[in-house]
Amino acid sequence: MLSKSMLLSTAYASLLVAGLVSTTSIFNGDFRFFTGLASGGLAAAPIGAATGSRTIDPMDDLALRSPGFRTKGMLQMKKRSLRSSPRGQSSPRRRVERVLPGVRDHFVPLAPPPFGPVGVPPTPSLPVPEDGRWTERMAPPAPLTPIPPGFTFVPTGEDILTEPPDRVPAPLTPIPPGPIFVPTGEDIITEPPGRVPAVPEPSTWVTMILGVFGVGAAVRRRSLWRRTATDALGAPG
Amino acid sequence: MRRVSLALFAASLMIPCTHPHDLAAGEAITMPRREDRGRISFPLGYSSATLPRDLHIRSLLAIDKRMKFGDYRWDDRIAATGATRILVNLRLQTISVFRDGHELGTAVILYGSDGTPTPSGTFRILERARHHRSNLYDAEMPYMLRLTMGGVAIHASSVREGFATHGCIGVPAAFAARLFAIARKGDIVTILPA
Repeated sequence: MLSKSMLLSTAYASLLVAGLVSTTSIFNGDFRFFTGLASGGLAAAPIGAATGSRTIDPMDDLALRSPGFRTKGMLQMKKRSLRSSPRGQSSPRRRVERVLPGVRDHFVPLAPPPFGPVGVPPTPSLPVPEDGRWTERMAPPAPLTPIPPGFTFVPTGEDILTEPPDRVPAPLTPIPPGPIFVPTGEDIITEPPGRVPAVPEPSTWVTMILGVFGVGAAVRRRSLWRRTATDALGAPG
Repeated sequence: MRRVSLALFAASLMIPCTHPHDLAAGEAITMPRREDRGRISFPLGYSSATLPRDLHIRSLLAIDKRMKFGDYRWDDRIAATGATRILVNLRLQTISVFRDGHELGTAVILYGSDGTPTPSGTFRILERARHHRSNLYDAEMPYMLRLTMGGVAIHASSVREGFATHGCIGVPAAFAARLFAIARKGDIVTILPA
């Protein structure tokens, strides 16, 4: 059974020990321990007994609420200005010319033709004989190579034009689609303009539909943002 | 025995405690605290080497979770009269409004980008304006509390993640309105660096 005097003496003894420890800590130069003891040990005793206090650095409370530090990756852009000012006060928007003065004042001449000055016929890629005849010597057949599928014109010795110029050449026939072998001696393969189908391909359809969805989402998001921003009176700083 | 212990106890109370500014940077004195009605009180006051000298925190709003961009808290039910003291922490991206050491409100802020940084230091509110339009950036600055003549101010903004300002401190509009109502010209604002 603990009497009142025993409790009191125990309390005083604990106080004595605390005072001694604090005194020695002062001599040792450990001010922080002393301060923590003096403020948290002695003064906090009645408060802690009543409310169950903890000793936590209050700066931690300020750090707990923080949304985090800003990193450079988070910084996307600066805020946009609002179209309308709060409470329906419409302010005149300044019309700003978004053209660089150097671009506006600088005269850009037309680009020259890529094949030389105008009026000079382009250099023929094929040697034209003086007598208008194609000879086997001037356009020799190319060495035989593995022909890829789709070739419609295979140059052989018999296909070289040998008609005299007085003969009327045969009317030109439309070139069938597909690669054409032009016998220039260098085996140049040219692609004719292929047919563009009238119906878009599935990937084009998907891209278009996704684009429509994207535009809708942007409009919706912008309207929501403007509504909240008008409510929040947001403005860039 | 009783007299000796009483004398020792009285002597221990008379020994001055270590001043917070004698501590190293970042070191703080832990203080007893109690939580009541969403508020953390420090009966002995709290100060730190990282805080301005004249700011002795007596209570903070109890917010035990991260605030999101656009969030704010305001609780002015506590009886506090006196000058408003504003503490902006760019690193934590928060603002706290104190009166007599009691925190009345806090919010998440936006601050200047790397190209137009927000200055740090202690400023006085130079001007108050309910409606203001920036003459530098052609933008609305509602509830403006001007800090520098260079254009840095605290004003309402659309606080969203990933955005930055031209050097101002953007706060949520509702928070800005409440802050504007209690802030007066000449009140002190401290901006801690990022």
